[in-house]
Parts: sequence; C-alpha cells; structure tokens
Amino acid sequence: MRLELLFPIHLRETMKNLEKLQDLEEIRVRIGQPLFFYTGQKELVLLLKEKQDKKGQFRNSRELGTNDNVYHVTEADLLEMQNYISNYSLYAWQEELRNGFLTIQGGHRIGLAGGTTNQNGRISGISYLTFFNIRVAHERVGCAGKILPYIWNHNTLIVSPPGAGKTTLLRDCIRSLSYEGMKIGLVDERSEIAACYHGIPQNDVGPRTDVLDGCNKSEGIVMLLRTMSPAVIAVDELGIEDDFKAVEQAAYCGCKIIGTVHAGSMKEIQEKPVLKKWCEKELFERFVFIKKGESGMRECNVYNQRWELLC
Amino acid sequence: MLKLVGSILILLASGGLSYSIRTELNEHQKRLFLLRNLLTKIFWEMNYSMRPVEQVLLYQIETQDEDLTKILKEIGERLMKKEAKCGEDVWREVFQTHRKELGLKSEESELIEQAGNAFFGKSVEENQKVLSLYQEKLDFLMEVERRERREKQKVYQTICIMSGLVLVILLI
Repeated sequence: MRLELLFPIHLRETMKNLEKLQDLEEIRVRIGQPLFFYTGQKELVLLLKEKQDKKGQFRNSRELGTNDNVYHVTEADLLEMQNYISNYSLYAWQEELRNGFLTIQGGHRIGLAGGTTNQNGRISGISYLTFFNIRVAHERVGCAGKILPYIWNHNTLIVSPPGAGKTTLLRDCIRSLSYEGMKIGLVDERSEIAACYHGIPQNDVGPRTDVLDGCNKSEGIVMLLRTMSPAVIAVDELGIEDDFKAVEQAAYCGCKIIGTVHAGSMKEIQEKPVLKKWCEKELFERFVFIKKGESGMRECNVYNQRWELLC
Repeated sequence: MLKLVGSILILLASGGLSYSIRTELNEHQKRLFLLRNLLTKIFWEMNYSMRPVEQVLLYQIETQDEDLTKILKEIGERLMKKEAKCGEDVWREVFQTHRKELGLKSEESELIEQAGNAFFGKSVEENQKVLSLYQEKLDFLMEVERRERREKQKVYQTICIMSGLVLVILLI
C-alpha cells in the first residue's frame, strides 16, 4: 500500500514523494500537533501548503524557530485517517485495537493510542483514536549473511537492547534458512516478523516458512511442533518462564530454535533470573549480540554456550 | 383470411405484453428478495471472516444477479482506492449511479443506498443493529409490493387483453 493513501485526501498531493524520503522510519500523527517524519537521525515536519517552496514540503524541525509555518493535524484528519487505516472497516480490527497496534498491507505497522475503554478492569478497545505511530516496514535482505555459518543447526538466541535490530536480523535468518531448504515454523505473536495482513506475510520470510500469526509464544511453539513438523522454530522476544519451557520442549524434540531476547550486554544475559537457568542447562548453543554504533551501523558478535567469542 | 391472421397476431401480442408485464413484476419482487438476502450475506460474511468490507465484496460475495455483482465489485474497487472520506458515501454513490439498471422504485432505491450504513460501523454489534433496521424497512416494502403485485398483475392482464380485443374490433 502506498503510504500517502493513509493520509487525508487534501494532504495526499504534498505526500506524493513520501517513499523518496531516505530512510523513513516513522511517521507520528498527533491531534493538534505537527506531522513528524523520522528519517535516520532527522526529525522532519510537514509545512503548510502555502509555505512550501523549492526546498520541498518537509523541514528539519530544529531549523524552524516557530510552529506557524507547520501543518497541524486536525480531528477531521484523524477521523479520515482512521477510515483509511482500517480500510473503512473498524469492526474488523477489534482485536488489534485491544492490542494497540495493527499491521497494514505492505507490512507497515501502526501503533494506536487515545481514549481507552475498559471492561472488567481490562482494556477492551480504543474509543478515540487520536495518536498514530506509523512504522514504515524495512527489510534488510542479507544482513544475516555473516552470522549464518555460525548459527546453522544450533539453538540460537539473538540478543540486543531495544531498537538495535533483533527482529530484522531474525527475519533475515528465517528467510535465508528457508531459502536454503529448511522447514521453518514461525510464531509471530505481534506480527512483527512476517507482518501478516489477513494471514498473508507482507515480508519475505522464505518459501518454506509456516507462520502462526498473533499467537501466544508458548502455545504457538507447541502447536507448530505438533502440526507442522518444522526443522527450526523461530520466535521473537522470549521473556517469561513458559516461553523457555516451550523452547526446551521443542529442543528435546529435535527441533532447532532461533529466538530473540532483550539485554543490554552479554553479562546481563547471564544475570537475568529467567534466562540464567536455561543458560546453565546449555539450552542455547549460540548467542548473537547486536551492537548499534553512534553512526547507526550495527555489529554482530557470535558467542558459544561457554561464552567464547566465535566472530 | 388476412383479417383473421391479423386479429390472431394482435391478440397474441397483447397476451405477450401481459405476460412480459407479469414477469417484470415477478422479477422486481425477486430482486428485492435478492437484495435483502445479499445484505444479510454481506453482514455474516464480514462477521465470520472479519475481513474489511472491500475484500468481502470483491472476493467473497457471489450473486446470481449480474447487475448486483457488478455493483458490488465496483464498490469494492472504489473502497480499495481510498478516494472517499467514508465508505457509506462510496456505497451510496455506486448504487445511485446504477439506479436505472436495478429497476427499483425510488423509495426502494433510497433504502438500498442507505443500507451501506450497516457495513461501516465501529463494531459488529453496531452493524448488526443498523442492518436489522434496514431489513425491517425492506420487509415492509416487500410486503406492500407483494400485495400490490397481485392486483397489478390482474389489472395489467385485463387491460392488455381488452385493448387487444378493442383493436381487433376496430380493425375489423
């Protein structure tokens, strides 16, 4: 889906070159506030139509001294966007509204916020959608090429702090292994890896990958194990005891596991209470730690179960 | 001899006309029933598959009526283009454009044009309530139509045959 189609009709003309914005990562839409576009290190804002010139429709927000020249999002804009984002069918996204995000065609993810409605003390939906975070889908094909020989046929855990690219690396591992001929079972609880839109993966996860979308990790792993006979099970953001129990079960059934986990350093991994036990059992044979440099470049280090650096 | 053949032809033509009017009235009734059925089908398909309206209309709904199929596909395609602020507008505009092809009375057409409101609500429950409202109205119109149809058929049949006879008498 072209991104400009998510925006109100009167803004579409100025949004036409959105795809050309280099490294566009996020678009933030907030009621009464400017439209923010995040590209790599920059924060851009959309100018009012009459203030746009040869330099284009966007300006770095830090270059602008005043907000007067900037377009501000109105309530009508948000209502219109709500229709486009949901394909005029809000009823079809009730579960996603409860979770606060939805995946649209093209694999772009939209985070939602606003006034929540509660039922029995739990969030049952969002009644006023007044904040959108459009996260533009990026696939980095080939980014796992360097680490693949080290993790091939090993239970692997990809480790990094948030935002360093765990999911992107995991997706490329899945795709590469799948193209190499391995049957992969993917449990995609938050639709971040395959980005399924009505059951169809929007990202390339390879020809031999079966996706269980929107499913609880521990249940999903067991389900895939029973039904799809995968050689490798891939899962994002392992965190609770049940997840690791399911991983252990899969590992003892001859299945290999690739998972990800949040941690700021390798030392943290060894000290995490939930993980410690499984590390001592040597459930995982490889750890891939992703470091993000100041320039935004990523570096991957691979360790074995004895914490020896392999590459 | 010629007069006899002419008279037979006129009587056959008036009989044919009466038959075609009768069929037309039946078709109209059938189309109303089909439309009612279609609204229910769209709703339940949406409810079952939880897919957006555009996909339901484009890929999941089949009707025996070519005109209706064409209209539904057109709505689906226009929704996909996202050129209207709300879905109800697209539904209404497309049905308005094809008013003549459907051959409905203005009251019935208006009702069908508004029935799109039942598919673009915030929740399934809201859609269901709105749909039942339109279905009730449609049921009422269909009941009136059914009652009128019999009388109309009798009247048209008599008029056609009588005018045929009058013409025959005049020509003889």
